Amino acid sequence: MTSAATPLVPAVYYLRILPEIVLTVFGAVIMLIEGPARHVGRGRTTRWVALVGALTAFAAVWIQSRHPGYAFSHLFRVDGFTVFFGFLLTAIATVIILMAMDYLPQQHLDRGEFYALVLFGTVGMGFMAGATELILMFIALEISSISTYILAGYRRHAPKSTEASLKYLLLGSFATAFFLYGIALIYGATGTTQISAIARALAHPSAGAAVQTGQIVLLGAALMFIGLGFKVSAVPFQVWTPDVYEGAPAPVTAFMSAAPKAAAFAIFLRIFTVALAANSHAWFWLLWAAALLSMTVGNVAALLQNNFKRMLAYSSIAQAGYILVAFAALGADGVSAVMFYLAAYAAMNIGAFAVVSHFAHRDERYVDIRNYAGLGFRAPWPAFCLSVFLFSLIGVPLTGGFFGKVYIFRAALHSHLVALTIIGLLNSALAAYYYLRPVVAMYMREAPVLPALAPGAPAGNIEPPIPPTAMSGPIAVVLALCVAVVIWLGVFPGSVLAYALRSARHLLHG
Amino acid sequence: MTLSLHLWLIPVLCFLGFALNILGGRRWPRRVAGWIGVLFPAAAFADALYVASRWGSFAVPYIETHGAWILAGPLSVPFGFQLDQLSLVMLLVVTGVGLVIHVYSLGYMAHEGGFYRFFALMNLFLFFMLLLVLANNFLLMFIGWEGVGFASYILIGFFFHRDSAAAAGSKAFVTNRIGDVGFLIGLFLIFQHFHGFDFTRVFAQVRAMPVEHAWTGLLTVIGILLFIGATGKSAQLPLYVWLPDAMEGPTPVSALIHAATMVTAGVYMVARSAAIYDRAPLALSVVLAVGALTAIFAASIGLLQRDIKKVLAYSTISQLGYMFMACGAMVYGAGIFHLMTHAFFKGLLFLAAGSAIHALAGEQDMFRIRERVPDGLKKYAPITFWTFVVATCSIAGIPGFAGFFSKDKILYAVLSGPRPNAWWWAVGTIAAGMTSFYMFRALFVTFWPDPARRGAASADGPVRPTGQEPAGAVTHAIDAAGFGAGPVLPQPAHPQPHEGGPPHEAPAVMTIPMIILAVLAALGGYIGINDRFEKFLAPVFATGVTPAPHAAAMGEGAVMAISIAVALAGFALAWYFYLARPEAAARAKHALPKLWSAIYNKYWVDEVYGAVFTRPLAWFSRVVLWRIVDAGVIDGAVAAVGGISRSTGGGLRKQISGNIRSYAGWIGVGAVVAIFYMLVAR
Repeated sequence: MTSAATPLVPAVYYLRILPEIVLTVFGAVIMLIEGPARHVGRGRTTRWVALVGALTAFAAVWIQSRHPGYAFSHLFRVDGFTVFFGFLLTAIATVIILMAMDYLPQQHLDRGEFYALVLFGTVGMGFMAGATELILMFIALEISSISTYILAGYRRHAPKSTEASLKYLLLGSFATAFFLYGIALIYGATGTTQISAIARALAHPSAGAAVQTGQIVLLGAALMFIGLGFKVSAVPFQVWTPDVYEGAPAPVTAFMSAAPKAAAFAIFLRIFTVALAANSHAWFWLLWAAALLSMTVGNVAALLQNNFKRMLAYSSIAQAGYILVAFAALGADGVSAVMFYLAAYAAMNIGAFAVVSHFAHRDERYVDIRNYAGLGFRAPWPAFCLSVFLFSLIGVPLTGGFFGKVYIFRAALHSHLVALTIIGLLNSALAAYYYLRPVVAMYMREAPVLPALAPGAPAGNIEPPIPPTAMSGPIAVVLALCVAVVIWLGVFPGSVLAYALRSARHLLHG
Repeated sequence: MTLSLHLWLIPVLCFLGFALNILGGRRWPRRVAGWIGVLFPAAAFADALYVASRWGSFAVPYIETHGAWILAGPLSVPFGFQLDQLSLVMLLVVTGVGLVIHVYSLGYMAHEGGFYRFFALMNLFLFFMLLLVLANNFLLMFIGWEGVGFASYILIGFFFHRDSAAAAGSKAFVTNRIGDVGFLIGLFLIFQHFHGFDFTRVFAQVRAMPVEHAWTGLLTVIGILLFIGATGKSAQLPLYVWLPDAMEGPTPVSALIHAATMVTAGVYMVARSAAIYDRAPLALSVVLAVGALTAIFAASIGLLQRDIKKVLAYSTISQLGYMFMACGAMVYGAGIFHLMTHAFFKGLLFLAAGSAIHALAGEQDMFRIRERVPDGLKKYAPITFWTFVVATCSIAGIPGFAGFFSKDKILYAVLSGPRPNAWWWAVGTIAAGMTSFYMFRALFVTFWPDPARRGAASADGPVRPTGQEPAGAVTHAIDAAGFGAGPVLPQPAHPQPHEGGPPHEAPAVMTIPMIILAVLAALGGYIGINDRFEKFLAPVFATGVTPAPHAAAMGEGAVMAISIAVALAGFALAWYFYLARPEAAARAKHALPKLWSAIYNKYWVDEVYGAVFTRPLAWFSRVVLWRIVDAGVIDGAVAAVGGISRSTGGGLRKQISGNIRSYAGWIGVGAVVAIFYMLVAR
């Protein structure tokens, strides 16, 4: 009787994962178009399909947000937290697709599967954001990782790129193994893989086996911490980051530095602040140390980098450190600061990579900071945008980076993390130095005059200036969007922060 | 509300000037860009005057808020502006002096590239500065605080494609970030304990608190943290190092930002937070000590600089020290008074120096200026000369000039104010003597004929230099004696005429602003007679703390007499060494070579900072992180990948897998440490 009235899977469940469905469908369509087409420049149709797909998914997040609740026997949950990340991830995917429209033809790599991989990766990340069960988290993590492994090696003819892909794959698998083992141990200790059920089990341990399971839970927490620490490139699990960021195609680096990192933080937050909340006294110092090390190592190592992508890689390690500071602050304040910073960070970092990607040219020839000499006068608009992003990364007021840091350190101080706050602020003072270097190069140096040589050949130690490059429509849209978001978050941060705060309360209090 | 002053309009006007020029300036003729750049600050000044004219028709402090700016959970900050006696003074100084300097820039920058950009950024600076002084909460003030630093950074670095300018801009920016660490932590503490950023709200709660006598008291900690921010922005020990380098920027920028307005933001902030400082005597002592030490330290460096702008830069640092001394002595009114007169005379000094530099096509070395104009620049540029004389008398504390009144008030207050201290008074008085010396030195060297040369002209004259050397050689000896460049540059024995004829007076668009400021620098002090100025400001600084009364150590007349004596002594010494007996200066140098060289080299502070902070960090990044964590792995890999073609797959694979092993090793070590901590060490 009941089976007739209520279907096995209520329709609302599909609405709750609508963005992921949309992305999957569009990704599959791209692959279908891609197969039969054999001519060069095949990406020409598929990229528009991908763009429409990403935008539709963005709209689908809105529909998703109208239907909060669990789906598929508590595997997935739509709440403010999920929706926040859903908007962020689909927006990132949209921007990356626009960026690729400019970059791929320039590199003669314009094939459709790139776009499909971005969409599939976003599916994985969307599930990461909403998953409330460890196995789904793991599968989602793998879906997103495998897409990024392939994307990292997309410049198949460049040794650096294949090397990056291989390194990322091998080390990523290594780290994922830790994560999986951690899941197994937590399951062993609590008998469930459900986030809320784990939280309940740990909050009220059965008297007899308390000590024994305590050790297992701690080991499981440590292992999951290692796996996730790798994904967010926290020190000491960051070693892959510089090589992979340098080798991967610039739009992919932009993607990796923002989307998988945000999604990994979503899992990180759900597992540690909800499931393992009862053990926070145990893992707190791991976070504390990782935050401190990531900020310091990232910033100090970035000081002397000449390769722009490598510098941004170290910078992203340092930025992960700031985010970990907010994480260590715990509570709704800390979680909302993490979320706000991730949004601001995505805009400014992707923007910076978009400029780098735009000026990279064939085979990414111009990715040295010294190439940027005098660019401020030859390409005023992109140079201006890049300056905005760099100043935001420094944390100058009227940019999103400023309020991001304000919220992080306010939350940290509120939780009495005085040492971490001081070290973090000193770090951000130090970081100003290397973020200013490209600005100095662009506006305060003349482009070197090359001796008459074969065109394009590097002359001795002089880094050739970037030749004039026409702005394409998509890249202009990307830069305009990123600047708009950075400034908006820097002038009117209130609404996003209020939303993040509400979502954080959802997350923490059910 | 019966009356709305629309305070928001004042900063927004400056912002409009910025926006118009930055968007369209490139396409317009210079004249249009210049007019826009000047008219908007003029409108802001007019509005400020209008606001001042309505004084009395509204309740003070007047506060206007414009909607919710940030509204999230416990954090609620409106866009709010506040006008009280303190912000009125700052408002008038910033817009007034700002306007005058903008007009001057029309002439000064007339031949420079990027004309429209210059005015756009100057207007942007005014916008942020006005935000800073009009804000009704700490957060908006901080936005202005950072914004002025940002505008200053651009204005220092963006006009000359010189490495030194780029480095100076970055140095200013990074040094200020270090100060901001303290400031920000202070702000967070304020928010945490008073649940808001509003001045009214915070200070109301502060007023209910007792005076603290321990280093760990909340208000003491906040006060010291905020002051750390002030040492960055207002160039006090130990973070002053950026200001002398900032002189790389165009001279009007130095006048507006690095003398009259931005650098005084720290003083304004401390005075604004008087309620906090009054209850934190230890923080006040820190402010007093740092201010006094900076005053004498920077003044002593100023004694021997050759570059006229560097002299003025160290002088600014020193004068800011006086303002902090006043704050530390709890006589904020005197500090703000000095802030105002300083804006007049120091702004003027920079403008006049800029005019002299302009006349000689960019020469900043005073001794070279004198060499190139052997019969004295004062003959060729009389207005520049006379305004410089007025400003010098003002800063040196010659009675009757503006600087005399304000400096004297500070020194008297330090000696016998609410927190009397004879030692710091003595320090301040000695520094005042130094100030008088280096300023008159600058005046005599820049504008007077070379006394050594005068001797040569009349071979038998009484001022014939020692020995039988010809005059040129003596000039050389004095230069070598290092008034005093370290390396003596080979200089022609004959003065070089200015390109295109003799040096010339600046056009009226530059001299009129100088004359206006000269009038203010001369007469601006009379506003403070009978303590009128301080009484006007008193309501702002009535914080509910009344210091214990005590007997004055010395009468005001006696203090004043000592100040006058010291100022005249400085004048007399400068006259003796640089006009009457130039060879005596060389002898003095040879008598004390070590001291001379220490002062001339600015006590090697930059070098020490480099050795202690910059180089170890670079070393750590290069050697430890790069070699061990990063390049030990990378060098091999990338070199190999670059060198070996893809076809030789075997070798490549080996290389990469070698890397991966070491990377995995790092992750493994991290994992072991994490697990060990969780299971055992916790």
